[in-house]
Amino acid sequence: MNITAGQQTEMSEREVLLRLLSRASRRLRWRSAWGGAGRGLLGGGAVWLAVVGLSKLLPVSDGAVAIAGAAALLAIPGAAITAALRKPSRLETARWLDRRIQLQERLSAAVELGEHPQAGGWAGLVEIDAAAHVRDVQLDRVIPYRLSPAFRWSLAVLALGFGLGFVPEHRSAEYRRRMADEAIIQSTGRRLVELTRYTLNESPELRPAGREALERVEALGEEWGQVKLTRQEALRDLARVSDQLRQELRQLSEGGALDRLRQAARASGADPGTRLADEALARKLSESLGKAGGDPAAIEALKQELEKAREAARGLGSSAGAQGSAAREQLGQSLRGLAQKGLDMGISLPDLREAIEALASAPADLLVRDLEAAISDLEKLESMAQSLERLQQRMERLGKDLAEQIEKGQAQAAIQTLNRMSEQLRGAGLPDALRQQVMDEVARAVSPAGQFEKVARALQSAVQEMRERQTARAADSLDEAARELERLLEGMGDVEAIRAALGALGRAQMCVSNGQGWGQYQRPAAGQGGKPGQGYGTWAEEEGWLAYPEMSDLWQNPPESRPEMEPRSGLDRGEGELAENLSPTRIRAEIAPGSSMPSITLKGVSVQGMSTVQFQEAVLGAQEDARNALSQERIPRAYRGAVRDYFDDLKR
Amino acid sequence: METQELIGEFRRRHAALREEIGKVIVGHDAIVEGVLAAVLAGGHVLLEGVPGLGKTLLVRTLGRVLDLSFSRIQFTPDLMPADILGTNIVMESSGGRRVFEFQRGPVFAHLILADEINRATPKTQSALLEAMQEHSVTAGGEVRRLEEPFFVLATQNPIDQEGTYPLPEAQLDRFFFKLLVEYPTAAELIEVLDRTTEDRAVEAQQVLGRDRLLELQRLVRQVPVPSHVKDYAVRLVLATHPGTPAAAPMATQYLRYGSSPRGAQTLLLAAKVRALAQERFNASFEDVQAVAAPALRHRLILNFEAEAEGVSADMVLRQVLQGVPLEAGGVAAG
Repeated sequence: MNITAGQQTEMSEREVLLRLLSRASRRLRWRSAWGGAGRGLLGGGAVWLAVVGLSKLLPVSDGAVAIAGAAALLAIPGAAITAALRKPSRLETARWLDRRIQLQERLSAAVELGEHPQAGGWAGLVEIDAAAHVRDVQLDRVIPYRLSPAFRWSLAVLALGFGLGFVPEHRSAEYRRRMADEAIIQSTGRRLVELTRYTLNESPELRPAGREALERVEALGEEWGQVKLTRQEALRDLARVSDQLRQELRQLSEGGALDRLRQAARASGADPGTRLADEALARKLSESLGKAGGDPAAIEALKQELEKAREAARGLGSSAGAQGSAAREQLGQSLRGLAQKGLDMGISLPDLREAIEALASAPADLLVRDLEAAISDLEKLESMAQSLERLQQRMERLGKDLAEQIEKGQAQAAIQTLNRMSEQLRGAGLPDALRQQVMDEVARAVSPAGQFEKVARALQSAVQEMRERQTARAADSLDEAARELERLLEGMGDVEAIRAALGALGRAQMCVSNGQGWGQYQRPAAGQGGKPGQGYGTWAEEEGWLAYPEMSDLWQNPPESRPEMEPRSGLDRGEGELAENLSPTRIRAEIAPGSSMPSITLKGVSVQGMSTVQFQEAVLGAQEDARNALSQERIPRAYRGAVRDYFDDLKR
Repeated sequence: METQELIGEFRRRHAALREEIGKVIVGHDAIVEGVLAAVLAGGHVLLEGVPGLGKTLLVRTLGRVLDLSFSRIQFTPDLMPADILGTNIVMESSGGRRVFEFQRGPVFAHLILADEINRATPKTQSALLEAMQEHSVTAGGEVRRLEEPFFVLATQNPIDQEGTYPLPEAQLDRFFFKLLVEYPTAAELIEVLDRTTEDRAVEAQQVLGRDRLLELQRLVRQVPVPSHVKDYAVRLVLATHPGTPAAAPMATQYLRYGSSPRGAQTLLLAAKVRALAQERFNASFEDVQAVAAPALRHRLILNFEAEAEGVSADMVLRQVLQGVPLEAGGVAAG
């Protein structure tokens, strides 16, 4: 056997084979990666398509769809890299080529024999044979880079996925309702938290009980924001917390004493803590004003005359000679008359005096300036007179003695009165007449104080002790009564806070049970601006002012006192009393002297023709509408009692 | 002689053998190819076919083109083993002494034509077992080697014919190939008629001598077989073993026994011969598939169900070939 010749041939042929196999291996690897990318795209696309399809039928979250999309994108390089990582061996490549170009295992035999030196001449023969068969092989045709079927299917899958995007989601009515409920519950929870936090921040004086009650509501709101709840669960939570708050309210309300105090104060329409201050202020104002203190009209008249004199003084500048002197003389007389009139009213006007003195010699503009200063003084006096008038009106509503103060729920005034009496009793050398007077006043107050048990007992004791001339002990009893009233006053803050929380809970209950947002306004039957008269008991609106969606605290009205704006919750039915200036007809409501609010018309809708529903049904429907309107705070607070009474009367 | 030259010699001789046999035998290319493959691989051949299809003529022609001693044994029901192997007979020596002398039977030749082998009783058929496997004969307590090369080319009629005895499985397994001789086509039959009914004497010439044949047989065994082709042959054989995990479904259903390891040997040897004959230097999957039927069909023992349903070994083999993949784990690359 001619080994040398064989080996020479073998080297060159083997080189041909190895180069071919190397190139083929590389191309196979790339093609494998390319195919892997196609498979990754197909697989990822299929997963994405499945998730998108699923999301059309079932409530799959957007996050899941996004994750599926991201996974589909990541699957492409992932599968490509995984496929490319596997490098086919030389023998595997040879076998693949054998099959691909039907070499009848020439290449693989050559590779195998080439790795075994003992194969001898056969290895060379096989390599020559194999090389002869692969010499003209074009690898780009044998191993082309072209889109695999997976890519084509992927395109179909992606097109299908995008098409699915336009298909509306199918959700059951139950699911949609549940989602809406969850959203409403969450937003209601947020609003509860906001309201409660606001109240807590704005009421640092709250006692632990009141604060704890509010924090409970806040915790409920926070829980709603974090946990998905059904309507029933939310209502159950609401009922539970409301029950707890009511329980606390009962405990705090001192057997209804606080309620009575509050109601009495509200009925009197007075601020229970301002009488003394008002008296002091009124005294001061009165002293400043003198005789004219109570008559702003007289001051106004004086001011007008002064204004006329000022106009006349302005005309002096253009007059000269005898005519000017006569005018000055006439103006001087007029001014002196006005000064005298002011003095008669008890008003001293130094600027006016200076003007009279300056009339003879000073230029006209100086005279006018003095007159303007006098007019300014008069304007101030007029303003003070008006304030005094308002103070007097307010003081008229305050109780004149302890009995009235207690009866009207003016706790702060009553406390001050009690303190004053206590000091008098403790004072040395208390005259009998004064003691008798104090005793009579306290005795008169026992009966109205009956609604506050401890206060009444303390007052009764004081009366008894004063009768027995034990003035020191009587003073102690009066102090005790004052302390009890103070305690009740403090408790009122907590009660109000809890009532506010209960109100918020009630509103939350309406939101959850009616499936409406916190500030959502929904007319019972007609849409915004729709025709009135749909259904029965529809509330029509003329100006749409009732449609404010949010809290009425956005109103910025100037009056000092707005009884209808006092914090009262939606659940607080109160006693149904209306302020005197309110009645369910067209009115021009006076909120405070000197100010007015827009006219409000409440109008029942007249339905023409024969009724098509039973009267009882109509009544029930109207009552339901009224309840909704009340609970959703679409009725101003001041009118709620009247509305409630009216619809309650329908039952009878 | 160098390998390459030897390979060239192989191809020339193979082509010449086909040509010479083709002068006598009309058609039956696959049969001729199979017989030549068995001869070049050193195996025995069983030819099965109805009488008159030229089986005996083929073997006789082969004996003529190969420069080898040739014996023909006509198997009959009364044929005895000694009639084949030979026997000791008493002979008188020149000195007048009587001695036992072994009288060789017809088996002592290079090429044995066992004509209608299934007409003899199993006892007589079995007389060939040792000769076929060991290439030796034991008679009178003495083992006598048969001269190489030694081929048995047996013919048999289909088993369902009258007066036949099926060959034992052990005997069948010793045949390299079992070739089924089919009826000739119309064109072939016309050619047969032309050659045999006219005054034309066609004689096949001698092509291959004993020594060269042995040399070519050694060459065949040197042909490389890629490992995955070898693995394929093994998996083919394993797929015929009923009830095993690798078995083809049809094998499990219709076979009583599958191929013995001799089947795998036969597959590779025959594949090598085919590769050389087709001017290749290595055996391929195609070679193994091409020789699978003649190499394995007589090694698959059908069960009753197969016989009842008319399922043949060739049908089972077709399914095995279809079911067994070329690569054990598929082609990894690409």
